[in-house]
Amino acid sequence: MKNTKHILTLASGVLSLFFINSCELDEYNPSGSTADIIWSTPEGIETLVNACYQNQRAWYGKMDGVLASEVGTDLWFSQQKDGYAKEFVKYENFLPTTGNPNKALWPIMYEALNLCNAAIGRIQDVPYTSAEAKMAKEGEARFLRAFYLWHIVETWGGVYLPVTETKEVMLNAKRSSVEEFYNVIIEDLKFAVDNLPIDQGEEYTRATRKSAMGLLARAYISRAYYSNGSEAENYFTLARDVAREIIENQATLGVSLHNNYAELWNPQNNKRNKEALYVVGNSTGNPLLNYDLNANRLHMYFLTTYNTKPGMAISLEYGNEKERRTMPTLFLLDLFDETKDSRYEASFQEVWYANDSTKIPRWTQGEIDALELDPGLKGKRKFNVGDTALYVTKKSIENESDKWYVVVDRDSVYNTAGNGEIKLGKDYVPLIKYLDPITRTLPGEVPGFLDIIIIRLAEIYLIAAEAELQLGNPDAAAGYINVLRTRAAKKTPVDHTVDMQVNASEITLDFILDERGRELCGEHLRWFDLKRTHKLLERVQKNNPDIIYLQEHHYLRPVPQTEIDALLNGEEFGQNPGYN
Amino acid sequence: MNKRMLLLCFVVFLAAGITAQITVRGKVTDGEGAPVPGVNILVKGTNNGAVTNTDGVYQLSDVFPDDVLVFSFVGMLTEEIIAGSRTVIDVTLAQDILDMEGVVVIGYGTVKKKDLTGSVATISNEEIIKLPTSNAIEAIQGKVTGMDIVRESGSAGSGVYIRVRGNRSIGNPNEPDKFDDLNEPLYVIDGIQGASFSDLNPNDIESINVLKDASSTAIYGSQGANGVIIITTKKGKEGKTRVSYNGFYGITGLTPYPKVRMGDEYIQFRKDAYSNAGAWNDSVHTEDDYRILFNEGELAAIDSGQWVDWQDLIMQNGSQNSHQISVSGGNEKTRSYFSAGYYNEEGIVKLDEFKRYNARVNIDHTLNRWFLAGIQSQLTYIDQDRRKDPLSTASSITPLGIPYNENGSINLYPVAGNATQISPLTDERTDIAIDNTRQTKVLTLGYVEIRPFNGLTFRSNLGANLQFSRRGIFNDATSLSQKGLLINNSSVNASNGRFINWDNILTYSKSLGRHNMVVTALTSYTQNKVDEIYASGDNQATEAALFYNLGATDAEGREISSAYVGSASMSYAARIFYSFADKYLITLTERIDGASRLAEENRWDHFPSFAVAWKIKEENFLQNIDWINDMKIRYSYGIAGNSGISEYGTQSGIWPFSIGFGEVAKTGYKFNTLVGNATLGWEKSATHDIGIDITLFSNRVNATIDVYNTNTSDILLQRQLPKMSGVGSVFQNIGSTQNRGIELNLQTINLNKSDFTWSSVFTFSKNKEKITGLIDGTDIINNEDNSLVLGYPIKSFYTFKKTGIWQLGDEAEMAQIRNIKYKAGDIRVENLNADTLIDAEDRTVIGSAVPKWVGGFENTFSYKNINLSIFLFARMGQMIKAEFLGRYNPSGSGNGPDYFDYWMPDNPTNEFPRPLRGAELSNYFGYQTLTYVDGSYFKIKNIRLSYTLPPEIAGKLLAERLQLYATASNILTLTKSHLLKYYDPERGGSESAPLSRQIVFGINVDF
Repeated sequence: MKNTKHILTLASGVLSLFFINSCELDEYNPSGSTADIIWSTPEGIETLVNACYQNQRAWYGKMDGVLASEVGTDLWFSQQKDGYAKEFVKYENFLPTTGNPNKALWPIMYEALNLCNAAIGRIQDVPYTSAEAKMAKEGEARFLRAFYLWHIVETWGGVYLPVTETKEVMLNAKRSSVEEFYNVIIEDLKFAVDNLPIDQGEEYTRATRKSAMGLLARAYISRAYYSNGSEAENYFTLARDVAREIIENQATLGVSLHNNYAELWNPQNNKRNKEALYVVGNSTGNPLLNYDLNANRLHMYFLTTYNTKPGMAISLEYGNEKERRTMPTLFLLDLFDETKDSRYEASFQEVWYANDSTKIPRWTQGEIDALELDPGLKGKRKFNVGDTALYVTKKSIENESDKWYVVVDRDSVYNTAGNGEIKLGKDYVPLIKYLDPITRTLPGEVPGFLDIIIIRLAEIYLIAAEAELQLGNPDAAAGYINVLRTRAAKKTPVDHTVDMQVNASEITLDFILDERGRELCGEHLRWFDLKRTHKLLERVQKNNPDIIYLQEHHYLRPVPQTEIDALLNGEEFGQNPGYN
Repeated sequence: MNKRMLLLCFVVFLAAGITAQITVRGKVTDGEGAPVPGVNILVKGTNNGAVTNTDGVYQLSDVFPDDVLVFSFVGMLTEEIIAGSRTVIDVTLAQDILDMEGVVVIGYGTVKKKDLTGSVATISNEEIIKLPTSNAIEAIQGKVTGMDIVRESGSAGSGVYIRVRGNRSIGNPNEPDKFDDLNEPLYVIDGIQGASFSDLNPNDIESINVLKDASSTAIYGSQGANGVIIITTKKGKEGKTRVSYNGFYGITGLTPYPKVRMGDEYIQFRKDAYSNAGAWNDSVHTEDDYRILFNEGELAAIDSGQWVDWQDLIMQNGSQNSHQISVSGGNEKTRSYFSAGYYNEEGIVKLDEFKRYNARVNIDHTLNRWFLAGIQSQLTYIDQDRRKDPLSTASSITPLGIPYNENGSINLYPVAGNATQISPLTDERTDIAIDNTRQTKVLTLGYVEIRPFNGLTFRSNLGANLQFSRRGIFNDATSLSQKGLLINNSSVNASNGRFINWDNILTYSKSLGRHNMVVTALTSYTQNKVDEIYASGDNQATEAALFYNLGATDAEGREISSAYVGSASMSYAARIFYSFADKYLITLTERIDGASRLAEENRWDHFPSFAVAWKIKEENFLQNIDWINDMKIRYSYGIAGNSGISEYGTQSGIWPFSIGFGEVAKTGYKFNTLVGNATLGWEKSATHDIGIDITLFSNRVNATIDVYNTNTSDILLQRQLPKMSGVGSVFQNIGSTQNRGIELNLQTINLNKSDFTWSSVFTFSKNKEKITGLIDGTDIINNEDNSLVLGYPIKSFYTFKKTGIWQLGDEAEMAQIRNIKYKAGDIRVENLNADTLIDAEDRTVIGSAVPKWVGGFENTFSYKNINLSIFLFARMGQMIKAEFLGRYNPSGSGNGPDYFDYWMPDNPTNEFPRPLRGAELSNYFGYQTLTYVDGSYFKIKNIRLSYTLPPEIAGKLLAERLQLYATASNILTLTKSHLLKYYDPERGGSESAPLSRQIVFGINVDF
């Protein structure tokens, strides 16, 4: 029996050993890269925050982003994209099942949002040696969450607002109000303002304090229009205050206006542009570091055709015009008084100089006879390389055909005798803000690697002005606007600075929108500006005769139908009004 | 039967007066002439008895001529013989097929067969080695009810496909390969989980036990739902040392395979294809116009009669070669079993070869009356060469050209002037195509067993399964697999697996009066770790380096990967067996499983079950009914799990990419599209099983019938999530399936004379499998082969239903279909919704890969030392996708099987559509339907003839027992569909590695 006891002790010992062992059922997965493992250290969290930046590059630098934020407004029309994106271009047949950019952008935004939520949630449990570093990293994630949420709420309205990482099977979703969206956006941005560094050093395309302040100003002023009375006043005040804080602390924040508008858009000044508060970066040195191999394609979308014209060949300088997507409305061109305002010339191109001698036409005997020219001209080139070969202008030109080169004037592009609609969308004055002759090496190359400015100081001045106007201080508003107009004024041969100044009595919401058009056209803001100020219908109907299907419900884009289908409570979640 | 007994009693009665005592001697042998030691011989009604010695010889004195001698031995039918006046009485004891006293291995223990409450089938070594094959499971095809076994392919060393009571897991339709893993039963070899039966030499196996119902499998918890197959290897026995040799040699060949068109048939088909296209007219054109039909190279080959039967050149006779020697024996302290085995199989194509070397050591040592220890250990080394199957090429290329050059070497491009047509023999050249796998596996288990007092046993098993494998592949630029690419490719894949299993089992049994109880409690820990490394590259500079110098491949396109997969599980289980009065039996089981592959909050799950049995025979009202020897009714219910979740299935995988900030390169990680589901749980199968075991007529008829219903729920399916979740799709426990079936096993001894016995085993299994739940109750329609349709089996075929061929005269009907312009000779499919379109709406489930029923029927005849058994097997109701039916090439270029009956204006068949120059089969609407065919078959699976040498003759050869045998397998196969008459449908439809006929000669000797 003595033995027995020993044995039983041994047996129970072995058994109890197992109970201890049983705790070790945690999975080890070194090769599989799972979230729980990789994202458990400061270095790992950085990879997650890095990923949060990724999807903004699918909006900025691509056609879909241009369609969703500039087109469908008073400034632009897109003859070429009629088929692919007629829902955005002219609101034709815009349904929950149509609109490829709408269907494409929704998952891109929400995927990024989930990554931001993962970052914000997971960083809390990750040990950092420096609390400041941890808060700064969280600040980036929060800035980006606000960034994506702003795009979502302004595009689709009060839809689904997740603030934690999706960890379970999600088949039900509830809507949140626009106000709830902005509560998160504003809280996140306040956190980001408090914790982001002023400078990110070599990694300058990361969010900084000025980025967060700029987006906060934009968020406040957007939020203000969703309320009335004292609440609205409160948000306009907040918007004004943040904008003013940026303007007054430019040196500290490391941002300043360029001396003139053309300098701002000079590709040589693109990287680390001093006027930018936030950019979507593209790496020039290593194309693999960008969102995709196409990186920044904006340089193509706004161009007109030129290389089929006599004397013209495709060139780096004039850009790759194969993907002509977006043309200005007559209204946009006429916003400018180009005699005084340098922004027209810096933003648009009217003249092309011959760059291909082989394509320059030669005088024929018939022409010499008809025009009674010097017979010796026969067989000679009509003009030389470096001479004007193409002239597309907002002006009205008499006897265009008398010119040796091609002339396209406003009357041949737009129905100037009638409502100003587009006659032919083939030749027009192109926006050249995004031209990229420096990071591309071949004229036909598609990828460009310039950074894309998302928020710049001029917008902050305009936000400040708009807020002041709404707060009943047109004087202050005029003051902010005049800073921009002073810069924009042509200084030579005659200095138009004084002519360009505006006074308080001229400042209206429409004037501010006009001024935004002059200053910010093509910069992924117009649709949001008209939506914010609830001027979309009015101004489009008045100024863009080619858009005929726009209705009140288009202030929101539809929720893609597949999303509603995939929800168990799809009916309860519902479609945005007007789309059923 | 009873008449005989009466007669016996009568004789006894008559002889009662004679009283002279004598001494009786004799020898007891089994059915195959081997001596049986330890047989009890008792004079009926007395205590006078004796036991046979190791040579099976006994001596018994004080026997009266009217005494009845009762010969009994466990596992054998008891024999009663009247002594008479004989002094030498030799007895042959027949095997007791049902063996009610025999033990059945159940999970973590054994139980007497008569006390079994669940559904468990037992196969002894004798059954296993009856059919000489590379692996034991193939040998028991058709012999276990509820178990569907077919050989995977005809290539050397190929495995078997096994299902126990149907498919439960659905898996991901996009990963069909994984489906089989999900529905594979659990294997337990000597207590170690997860080892492969195919590594074992069948001769080393003592028994195979198949646990089928939930009450039996629940003790394996989360892994039990697909059934559990427990394999026990041989152990040494106390007594004289026994040396055995088992060997066989077999020839494989006469492979049924569809022949292709040759000569005039080939020419005629092309004429027909051209004539339907209006390019040939027999009444206009003559042989001089052949250049319309053939290009110059072909024409020249036809003119010189260079017809080539590629299949014939490729197929050879394969062979099987097996040798195994074992030594076993022991004393009261130590018992041991050693064996060494070699198995070699050559396939029916060159370069298809499998070699396996085994060594096994099983030692049990008794330290003292309460302490035992032992080891069971096996080393397996496998060397396998595979070949990319050339048969599909051989069946589809033009049968013309010059296969060999004048010097006998292979002609790479057999048709002159056609450099795109590479010879299917190309890989047979030296070092052109190599696919070699070498595996070393160590399976070892050590145990200690402590019996502190009567009734209590504690056993601790520590097992390990170590596997090292390397697969090297080299394909030359001119190999079959690189055709079209024309650069060489090499790759190496190596893996290293470590599996550890530690079980601690406490068993306590107690009898108190009429109460009997056995309690088992156990813990089980498993851990599995696998490292893998893979590298491949193109265009290796020196071809002779094969796959040994991947560094010399092109840097671009080189692939390298390495991976680690690990998992662990911890389980606690308890089982209580209780019986009252040996009449009423109950088994309660509960297992609690914790698994690393489940998320933390879901990590533990439990699997309960119970079973009751009633031995009706023990009731008074049946006591006097002689012809019923035994009768038991069983019912069990329980829940077992399916290992549907793979490692890391609950974790969110993330993938890295590069991202720049300024010009600074950084790494970002994003979620995979398929995200982990932290709430994943096991798939669960709840099974009801009612069974009855009956033994009748002096144990000569044994029947077991089981009826079961398994409902599997929480099946993993991949679900698309709304994009606003930020993730793509996820696996969820949302599907369900049902398997219902009936099983019958009937064993009879039809004749039992002293010289001649005839016994039969009949098995019948019918299983009905269906999907009962999918995401939101909607069918998931993909393509023909991987759609999931509610109410049908998982592996169902979903497409149009072919009704025949459109005939001349059907024009009015053809015109009613608006979206397809039919012509006579096109494929006609059923217009299910009777509208004017043939479209997606007209697709339906046309069949399923699972059989409706499977049956086996074995008859064994023994006459003296000669034993003949014939095994018939039928698998009915399954549909197969016969790839070669899709080899019908209507254009007339290339080739196809010669017996296809195709439509021509003067041949209004309903089988194959009209040939047409330039057409591809896929041009015919509904062409998919041609390959699906009823794969039902009946075959004479095996005939075995054995002869056991009389002991005297064997003795002269120094052998105790010597048996010679010959078997013939797959001799005759009858298929329901005439389209399969040249094909063994057990292969499942693939045209590569067809199944062959086999003839094997073998010898078993015990010294």
